[in-house]
Amino acid sequence: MSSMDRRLLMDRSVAGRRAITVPEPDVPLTPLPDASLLRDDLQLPEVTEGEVVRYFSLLSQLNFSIDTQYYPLGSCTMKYNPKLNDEMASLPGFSEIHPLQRDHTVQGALQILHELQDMLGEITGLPSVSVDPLAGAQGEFAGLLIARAFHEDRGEGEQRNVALIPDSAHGTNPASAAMAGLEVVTVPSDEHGNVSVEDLRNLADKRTAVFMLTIPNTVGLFEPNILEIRKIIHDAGGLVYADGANLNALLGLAKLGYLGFDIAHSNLHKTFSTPHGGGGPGSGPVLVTDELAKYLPTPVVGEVDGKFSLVSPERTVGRLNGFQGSFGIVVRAYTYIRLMGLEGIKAIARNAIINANYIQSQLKDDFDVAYDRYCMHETVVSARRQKANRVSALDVAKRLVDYGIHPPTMYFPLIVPEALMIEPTETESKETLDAFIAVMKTIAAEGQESPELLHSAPHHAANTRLDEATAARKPILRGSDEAAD
Amino acid sequence: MAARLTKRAKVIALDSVDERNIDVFRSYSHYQGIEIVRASSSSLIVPVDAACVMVQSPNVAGVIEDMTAIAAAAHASGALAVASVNPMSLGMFKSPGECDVDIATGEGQPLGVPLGFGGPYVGLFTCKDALKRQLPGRIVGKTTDTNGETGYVLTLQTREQHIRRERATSNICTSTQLIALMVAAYLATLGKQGLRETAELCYQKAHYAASQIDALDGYSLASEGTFFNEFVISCREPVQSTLDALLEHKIIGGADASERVANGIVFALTEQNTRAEIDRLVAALDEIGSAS
Repeated sequence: MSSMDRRLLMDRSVAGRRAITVPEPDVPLTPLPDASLLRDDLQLPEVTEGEVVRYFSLLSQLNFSIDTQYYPLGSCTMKYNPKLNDEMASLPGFSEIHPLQRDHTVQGALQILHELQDMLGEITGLPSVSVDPLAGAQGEFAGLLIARAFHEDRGEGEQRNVALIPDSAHGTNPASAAMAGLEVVTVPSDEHGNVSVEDLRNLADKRTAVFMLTIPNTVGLFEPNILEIRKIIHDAGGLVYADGANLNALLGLAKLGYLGFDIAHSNLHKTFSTPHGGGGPGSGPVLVTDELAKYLPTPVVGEVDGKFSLVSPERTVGRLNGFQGSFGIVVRAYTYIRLMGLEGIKAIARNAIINANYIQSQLKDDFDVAYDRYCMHETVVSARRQKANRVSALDVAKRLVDYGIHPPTMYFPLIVPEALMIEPTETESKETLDAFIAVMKTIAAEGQESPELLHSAPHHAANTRLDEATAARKPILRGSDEAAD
Repeated sequence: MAARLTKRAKVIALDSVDERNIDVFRSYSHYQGIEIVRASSSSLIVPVDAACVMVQSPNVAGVIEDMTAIAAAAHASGALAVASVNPMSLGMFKSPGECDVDIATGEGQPLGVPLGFGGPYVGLFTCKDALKRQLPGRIVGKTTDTNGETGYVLTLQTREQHIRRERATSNICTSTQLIALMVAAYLATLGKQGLRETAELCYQKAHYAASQIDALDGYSLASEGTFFNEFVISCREPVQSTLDALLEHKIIGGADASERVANGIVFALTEQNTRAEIDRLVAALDEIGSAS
């Protein structure tokens, strides 16, 4: 693969070549504006359509993808994405409508948004929903703005300025809290990977605005003390927030609303099978109790006598993007839920949990399991045993690439040394899981016998290990940067 | 980003910036202690405690702003110039960089992305080279592997939540990479000549439509100055009844601009509109205007 031509498109440019012909104007010409307003040149490639197609197609083949390889990337829920989702989103009645069309000309689109609001409310037990947030982190941010607005209305806006966040949390939790102007106080985990209830009790007080909890948590475990946690926070006057990144494990089994959560976000691109797109687009609906509905970001879709319209909640925390969120992603998630049906939805979580526990049970002899108890939809193993032989989690991950498997999430959560976070998802067969387990055992053996093989992995990828330090120290962000340096 | 760079907390936004953009800005800046002040571009005075001046070009009325003058005024007070642009307009009009703007953003939708009722689209975020370490989000850099072969990595990640967590300067995680890829393929296909020609097509179609509508009884062009592909028409009849009547002709009319212009409708024309479509719109407006 390394012999492949890796020149950028700009470097393949030949003056005068073009991929398409733009038609001549069919209207009487208006003189162009004064030359002082116009630019002289555009540095864009001059290539044929065939060259464009070949360039992008060949580059796509350098990527791992869920359509080509097994992808047990923890916390990302890389499940199979049914192609029907994309087909529905591509229907011209959805893909060709303008975001500012008046409500009565887009009733079909508004009905989809409204029904998805209701379905997500039913699934999570948090009935009031806005699908505006463009991805999980914006959903978190919206949820935190809602918490702040709630406290402000109770005259405690200034006083309640602390977000309590477990040390196992996703990095976006504290980052979103900082964006919402909250001070972050970290809550330690106990020796079982759960939130330390004693510490939480001491930290929760009249400054607590919100406690953010990922459930199941980032080591793939269900918080057994959730009801007590909720009581501690509510007694202190705070709200309880659920990071729904791991919602796949709860579908049809537990409702966040019943567990006592006030606010949550869901990642449609994880749980509801919309493609990850190599880093987006996603969608991160924010879900709240009826009491908090009036603070939801604007707009939400309301319904009166079968007529749907975009409305602004009474005390909305405001607008988060230009229009009404990632509509195309909403259509995909809606299609998936309708495709699965009630029984299908219930089977998702059960199978995801069974698959993760199967992997955990089969890897126990070769890797340390971070917390040795039944896990939910993902398991965290540690390469600390291998580390003694100077083989790191990074080495194991890079070696997996040689075997055609996308590496698990590495070095996260931060509370587990040499962490490898494995999320098999429900859409993989036993044969695929067995093949992965066999490869992991082979790598563990290689680590014992020939650790240098792992240190220099990957051997069969487009690139060997990349120099990230120089990339950050001396960033080359454009094709033309190099010549300038 | 401008507030962080200048260590100032006041943002001057021209009153010709779209209210939707301002609304999103307010949602994000509310708890950051950043104040937003609206100003007119014709009598722009930049206070010495301003972090930046925000300009949109083409503006909410479709008109090209004098970004060079606005950037100079901002710089004179030690503030940065921040522009929001329609990237298709840059096929023919001077770029923010040529106008000495420091940070430019834009909605990438015009570059080959379906309208899709508002998303997913792609937000464009660019800055002068000297400021690049302050850019938020996922940035790709070129590097080499252990064999000296070229490869690419996500870089400048230390600013992000993976490492600094509660001291992170952005919470961006998932973004819109796939849409960015669509835009890259679109620009590669249009290329150097194609983007220029497509931008000029937008300009020509819009100016033809605007002149035809302006010539009708009961309609007048309200956009003053050089416009690109959007313009505001002031109608004699109320906006909603004009749009309802257009719908009878199977035409989705423009967007309501009556908050800024009496009975104003903003029309957008692109390279996708044919002369026949424009003539049908003009004939429909004429019929609606003379029936009332």
